Amino acid sequence: MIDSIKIRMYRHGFGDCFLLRFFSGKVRQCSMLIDCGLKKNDSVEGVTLEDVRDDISRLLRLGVTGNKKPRLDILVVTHEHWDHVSGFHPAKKLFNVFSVDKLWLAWTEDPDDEDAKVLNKGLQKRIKALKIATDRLKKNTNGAAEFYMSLAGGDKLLAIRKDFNDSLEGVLEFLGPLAVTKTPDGATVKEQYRISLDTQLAMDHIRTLANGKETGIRYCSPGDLIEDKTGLPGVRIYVFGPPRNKLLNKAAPSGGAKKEVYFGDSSLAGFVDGVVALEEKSTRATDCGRPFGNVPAFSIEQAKDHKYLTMEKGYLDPGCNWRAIQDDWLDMAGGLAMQMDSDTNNTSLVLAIEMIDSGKVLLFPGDAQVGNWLSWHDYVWTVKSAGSTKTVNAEQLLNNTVFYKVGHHSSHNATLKEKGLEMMTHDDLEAFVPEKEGQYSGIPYTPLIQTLKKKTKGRLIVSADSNYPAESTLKNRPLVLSAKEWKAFSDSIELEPLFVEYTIRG
Amino acid sequence: MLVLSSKLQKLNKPAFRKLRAYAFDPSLSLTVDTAQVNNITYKIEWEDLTDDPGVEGQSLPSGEYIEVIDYDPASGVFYPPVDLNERCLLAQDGLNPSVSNPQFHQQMVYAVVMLTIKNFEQALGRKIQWAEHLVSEENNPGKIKDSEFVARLRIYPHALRQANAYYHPLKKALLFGYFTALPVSPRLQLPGGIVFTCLSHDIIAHETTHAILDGLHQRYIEANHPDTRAFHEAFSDLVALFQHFSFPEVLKHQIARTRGDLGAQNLLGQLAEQFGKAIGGYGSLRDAIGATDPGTGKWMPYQADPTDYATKIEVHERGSILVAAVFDAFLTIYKQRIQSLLRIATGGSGILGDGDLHPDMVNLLSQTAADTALRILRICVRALDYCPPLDLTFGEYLRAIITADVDMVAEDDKNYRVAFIEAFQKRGIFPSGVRTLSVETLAYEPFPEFQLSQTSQEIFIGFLREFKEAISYETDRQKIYEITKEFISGGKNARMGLHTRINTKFLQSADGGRFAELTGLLFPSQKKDCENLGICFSMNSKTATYQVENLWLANRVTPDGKIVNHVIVTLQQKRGIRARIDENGHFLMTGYFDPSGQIPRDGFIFRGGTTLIYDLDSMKLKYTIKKSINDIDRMERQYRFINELDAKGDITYFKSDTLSSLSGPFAFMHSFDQNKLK
Repeated sequence: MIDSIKIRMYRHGFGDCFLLRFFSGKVRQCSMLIDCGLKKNDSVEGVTLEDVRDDISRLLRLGVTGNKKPRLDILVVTHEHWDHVSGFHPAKKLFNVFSVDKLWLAWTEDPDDEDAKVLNKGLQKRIKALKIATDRLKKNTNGAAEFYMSLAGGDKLLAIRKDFNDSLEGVLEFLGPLAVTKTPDGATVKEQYRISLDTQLAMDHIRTLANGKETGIRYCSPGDLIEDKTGLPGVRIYVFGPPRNKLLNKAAPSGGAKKEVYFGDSSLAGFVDGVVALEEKSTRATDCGRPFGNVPAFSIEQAKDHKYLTMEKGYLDPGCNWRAIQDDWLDMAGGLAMQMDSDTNNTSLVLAIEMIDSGKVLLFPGDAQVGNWLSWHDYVWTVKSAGSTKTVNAEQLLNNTVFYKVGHHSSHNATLKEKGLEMMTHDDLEAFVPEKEGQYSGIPYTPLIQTLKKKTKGRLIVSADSNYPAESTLKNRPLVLSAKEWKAFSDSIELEPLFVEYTIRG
Repeated sequence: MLVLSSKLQKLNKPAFRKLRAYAFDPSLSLTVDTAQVNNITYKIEWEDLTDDPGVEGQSLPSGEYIEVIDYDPASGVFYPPVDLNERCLLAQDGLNPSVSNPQFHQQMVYAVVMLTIKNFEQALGRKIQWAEHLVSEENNPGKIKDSEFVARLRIYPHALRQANAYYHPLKKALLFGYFTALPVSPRLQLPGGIVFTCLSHDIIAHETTHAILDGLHQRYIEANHPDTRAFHEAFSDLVALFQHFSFPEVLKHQIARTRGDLGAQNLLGQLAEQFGKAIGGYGSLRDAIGATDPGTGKWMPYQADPTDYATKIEVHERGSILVAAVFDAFLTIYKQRIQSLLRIATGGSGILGDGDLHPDMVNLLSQTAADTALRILRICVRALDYCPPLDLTFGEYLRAIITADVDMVAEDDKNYRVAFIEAFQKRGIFPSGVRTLSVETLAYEPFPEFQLSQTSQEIFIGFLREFKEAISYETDRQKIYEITKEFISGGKNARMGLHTRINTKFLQSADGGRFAELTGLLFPSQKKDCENLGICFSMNSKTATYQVENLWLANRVTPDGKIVNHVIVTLQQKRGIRARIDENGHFLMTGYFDPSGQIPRDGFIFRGGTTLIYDLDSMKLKYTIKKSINDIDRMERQYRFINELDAKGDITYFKSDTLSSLSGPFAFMHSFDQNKLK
């Protein structure tokens, strides 16, 4: 019977890597690794992914006799974002000597799933459009520096514009290095890749690690209940997300905020078509999103023949350049980027791990955002306990949550308030945030950090953010915490530069 | 013959140009219910549209105020301009409404933008101006050299490919987008069909209002308070909404369907909600008035909640409070006005007999509704002259509405003002510093006594009279702009400008201290004192720098035939404040910095300003509406707001100010939520 769980969060930078070890007494019954990734262009000195790997390897071989290769019981990959999967890139060869027994992925990764097929179909073109728009905005910004400097306040505008372009690139980085290549015919996306070459390679490699056989892979669907009486006795794992229902037949959930849906915003179709048409010479069969059929129109070259455009103060008058709108439409790339990013986040596999006897729950939501969180409440699980059956819902499990891996590095929209954090009412609630400062503006979202501190009574540990050093969390007892609670908390935490580990006793 | 015809032309220039367009947007032409009221004819004050110098006899939708340029950069094409002077179009009120004809799109934006402009002008009693274009010194973009007149607002009907439309304050342009319709609402939009935002009356009126408001109060786009952005949004929605209600044709249709209890006037609210639901219904309008109860299928107005103002912070939600309040006042007034009609129609019972309403009754009711709507619209617009030049709160807007109306209508026998006060009060909107709510306490104190020297005052107001003389017969907007500029900063017509005169008549006189008190600004005479307060010092004026931002003439005829002769002056000053929040969460001012230089990490620019309304007839200062530059509460509020310390902000990967400073604050906020377009 599992009676304790050790959760180790690595402190390698902006990215998730969690090792869970399940014990009954002193015997390790099971090991589970949830994600291993690091944002592009980020690092923490002295804590590399190799160090992380070595530590995992060492732990897995503890108590194992002989010089065997490290064996991981379960590998969980929440979603295809670079800061969650980069450690599995084949070129890094980090986990090649590991043997992985089981691989758990979200249903969205299932090549045979009909819903997943629909979901993934639209992605490629958007990636391409985002890349093209970003490149073009960057190029045009660089080319227009002189123009900006001629405008009142233009220096500031130029800086903001560059900032915007950088933000776009930042989102592309989340997706990983892109599978877009330049060819004489324009940009193309390698057809077999869904989001980006490298994240796809990492995902493929993850499958290889799982002994290359599909039988070892479990595609988890919301509503699933995972029980393993031999491997994980005394533990139930509930699959909360990613949601299925809203995807195909319900584009507009009640309340209808855009973030609650993924891949649903058709209004961008014309934008995507238009952007792709900028680079693609062969525009077969499509109208590139043009709004009118065969109405009379003339091109910008022909416009020079029209006096109303060339006259003083006309559209083409160079003195009126500040009023032109050549690139304004491309700014929608910002919206597209955010949407794609949150869409992929919403495909996060969300697991709630319950220790049956104590009822304590560990919540790992990946980077799930609003829509994913809301959908958890659509499910009811039927469980057997002591011979009788009972039903369990997400609210009860949230009520019993004692450990929360904070979603999406504590951004503003990845921890639901009313139907999420507010429901985590357990006295022992403790939260871990894998995050590093200065990587994305708005992360961490300060009000959320404040709320989390309050909810956990100060038992909030951030992996690598120098504004919230983990070391100082353990230095002083927060006043709201009783001496007894404080001792229980500090006794169950182990803090090293490489990791922080929390032991939960059931 | 030739002579005669040209003479005829001069004598009989048409008063209006009639143009057909949608009353709502094309989606309402697809349901039988609304199709018949959706196509209406807009009557736009006549103007000779510019002749295209390139093409013989061709004119563009380009007139005194706006120019429509139909460039679609995503498609890489221009659509040729519609010639509204073309004989066939003149004879049949323009092109037939059609989604697939870009020239009709141009016609519709022209019609709606012009209608909106004219509604403003009627209320304000002067010509509207667009925000000016700032010109920097050569190779020094940080230094503003001059400002230029912007004659025409640019309208780009097909500028974007997104469910969005916005006013671009830097380009002085309205950019409209188009997008592919969501397939989930096949009833109103063709799945995969294209929706054009430039074909929605509400979107066009809304965006135009942003542009006009920016021309009036340039500082209102600065977000320093939850109310500032929300006001821009809500006000634009109000204009769109009441402009809609001013079309009696549209109302008639709805009113004719009334059965039973006419007193239970939900239909106007319901109609307003439908407007909001049509394409481009902005959040604040859509959610302001009421909703259909999914259980009973009956439409129910939302109940006002006194905690609304305190709890609703998000821009659109907050805006909806203001929209709801004004709409509430409208309904109260309308109901009161139709009381006698109802008694006549029902023989005093208030209950209608079976069958259709009498057509005369329908006419009377819809005319009354349209007339009330137009009045409310004017009250709302006129109030803008009575608002502080920056950092406007809803409470101050209520005070402006009341004060403006007191000036306009001496006796409030129909209780318009009470209706407004009640509606605002119900939603918890209370102006700060007002102890009780009544017309008397809310209206700004007229002719406040500041004991300024009588002679200086008279000389000063005499100069404002000269200003009136100089522009009251001027119809050319560029000349008005230039004369105004001269009167502010000096020039051949005005000799010494207003700025210098304020300096010599008040600041450098014995009255200096009292003038500071009156305006809520700071005028230390020593450079060192200025620096110590975080204010710039002007070597020229030998005092703190300040700006005269606006100088307007308000020349209005009241309903009882009086002529209001006001000149409005707005002043503004900025200050560099450094602050932080201490361990206990308290706001702590830590120092000052030079606001003309770099802004330090812990610093922010804080502004004070005042609106001075001078009555030219009595030669007195009638009202001062000020935002003190020494107001520490306001500093704290602004600090907390801009650092998003209070509530949920819009933080994502893109800083909330990134896109907004790029294409103006409206670009980001306006993306329509597709899912709400049902």
